[in-house]
Amino acid sequence: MLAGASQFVALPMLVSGASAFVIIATVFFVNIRHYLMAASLAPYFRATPRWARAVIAQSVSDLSYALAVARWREQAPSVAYFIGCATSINIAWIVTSALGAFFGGAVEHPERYGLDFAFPAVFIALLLPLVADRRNLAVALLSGVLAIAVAAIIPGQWYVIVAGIGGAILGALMEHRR
Amino acid sequence: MRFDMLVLILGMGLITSLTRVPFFLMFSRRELSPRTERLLRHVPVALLAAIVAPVFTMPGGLLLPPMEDPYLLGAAVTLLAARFTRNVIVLVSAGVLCVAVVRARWLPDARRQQPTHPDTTGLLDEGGTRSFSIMRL
Repeated sequence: MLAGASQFVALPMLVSGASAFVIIATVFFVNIRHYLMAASLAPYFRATPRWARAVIAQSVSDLSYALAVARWREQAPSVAYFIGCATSINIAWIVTSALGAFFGGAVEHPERYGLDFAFPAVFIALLLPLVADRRNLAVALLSGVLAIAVAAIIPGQWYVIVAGIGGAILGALMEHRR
Repeated sequence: MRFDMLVLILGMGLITSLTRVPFFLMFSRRELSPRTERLLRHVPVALLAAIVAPVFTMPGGLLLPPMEDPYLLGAAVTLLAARFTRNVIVLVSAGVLCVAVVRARWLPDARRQQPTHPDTTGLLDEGGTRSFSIMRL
């Protein structure tokens, strides 16, 4: 299903014997960020047939999303680029999941090598090229602070939605006033 | 494979599609108002920042004091490295190396062991015990 966060969440739940309904509901909430990604990607796909859009939508993920929007700031948006990113990510996901399943046990304490930091570090590397001017920086800072505050108060994934929309509104207001 | 596992996997796949497909179809159908277009233009930066920010202050879902949070230093080193290169592999390696060194040299033993997967879901309680009550969502 190519949704890393939900796989990380679903596995321990499965082991501890949670019911299928609860697991599926949790997976839904972990993935609500896809709504925002899909909405902001969609306008680039106006020329694509409806059935193809429904297929392409399946590979919206943090990575394919971040790679595509970064590229499309510098070059004319192309549907082919998104499909290329998504396909590579899909293949890499399946191959490395299989490798992990067979050899993952060989690394006893991944955190000793800082490997758990790879995920946040990748996000920094993906976010940086998007922050091109002061307005972007303001949006990123507000979203980040808002996300930390909301995450501390409301459990679950709501901070992504609240801070994502909050930051986008700030950006739109700043652009409007200029 | 057990039948209920199959149902679970199909269910998770279906519900994940439900988060991806509807807006992808809706927002590509017709011309959007200038206001919506403006809003959507800023979603990428806002969203990526929102996803990652709490991971740095709350690695493993716990709020740590800044001096005991290896992720904050890792983030600083990654940003510093970004002044010299935009190569993702180099940036990630720098951050990972920094976190590993900080854990091994600096932190008290109790802080070295952290969950392998940073839990940003809020599903882990303070003590690290898992609570799956739907109310917490």
